[in-house]
Amino acid sequence: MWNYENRLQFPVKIDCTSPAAAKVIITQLGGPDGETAAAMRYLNQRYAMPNRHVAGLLTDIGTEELAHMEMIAAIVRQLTRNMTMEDVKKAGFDTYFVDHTGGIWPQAASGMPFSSMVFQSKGDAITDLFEDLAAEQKARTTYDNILRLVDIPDVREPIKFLRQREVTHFQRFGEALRMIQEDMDCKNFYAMNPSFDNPNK
Amino acid sequence: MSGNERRCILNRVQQAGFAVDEAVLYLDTHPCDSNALAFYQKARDEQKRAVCEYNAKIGPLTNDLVEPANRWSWTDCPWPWEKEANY
Repeated sequence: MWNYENRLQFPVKIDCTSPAAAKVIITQLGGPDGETAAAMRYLNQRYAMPNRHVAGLLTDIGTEELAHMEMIAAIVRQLTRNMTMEDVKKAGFDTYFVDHTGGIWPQAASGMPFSSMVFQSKGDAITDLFEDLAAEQKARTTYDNILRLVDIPDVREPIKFLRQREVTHFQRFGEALRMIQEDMDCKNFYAMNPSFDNPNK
Repeated sequence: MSGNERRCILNRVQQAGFAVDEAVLYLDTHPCDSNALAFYQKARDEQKRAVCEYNAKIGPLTNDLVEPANRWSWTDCPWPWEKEANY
């Protein structure tokens, strides 16, 4: 069960209009390494996670990812709320505008819609945690690329915050992987699935 | 604690929580309905008491209610999707 807090995790206060920036940043809402994928990945993986501390970590990080979806959506919305038709055409935002106007819709920068094909929930603790570690690095790289593309200071600050959270989550997932490996027979690391073959440990 | 007693404590939280959830949705579209406001207030007060009892007898319902004395107990109890958590 969830409760909603009426605040962003980190403030988003953008004065300028830039559909060009919005067009690339929306990839962190609905793209292959975006926040929706992150939230769905962790919140779905946790059911088969055999270690309760790691299942709790997946719940807590998954919950934080929901708050990150909201931050990305807030950035995209503020960058586009006052756009003129001239801004739309000049930025090449017309292909988004025609379907969604100024609404928020999870898609990649390329226009590809959000899909659960971008993440896995494999029902194997080791497999899932390696995926999670990779996902945090992929998201970090994407934020690095956004920082290369966008020079608006009001946008860069929340993006830098989100980038840093990827690094922190990577650290925690590394510790989670170690906990799972310690739960297993060390002579048999990759030969069994701790979520299935030994579900009560 | 018996399963029966645990079930009672959890039921109280679920019933009070649901009353609050339902009142909130109604109030979102009827913000001046005085009967609904009074219902919400009663439901919220009951929810607070129910959560208090749950915390004291079973464990932290939310992570801000953990007593951080010598151990972080947030991840110790069964999670709600586990059969053991549904008494």
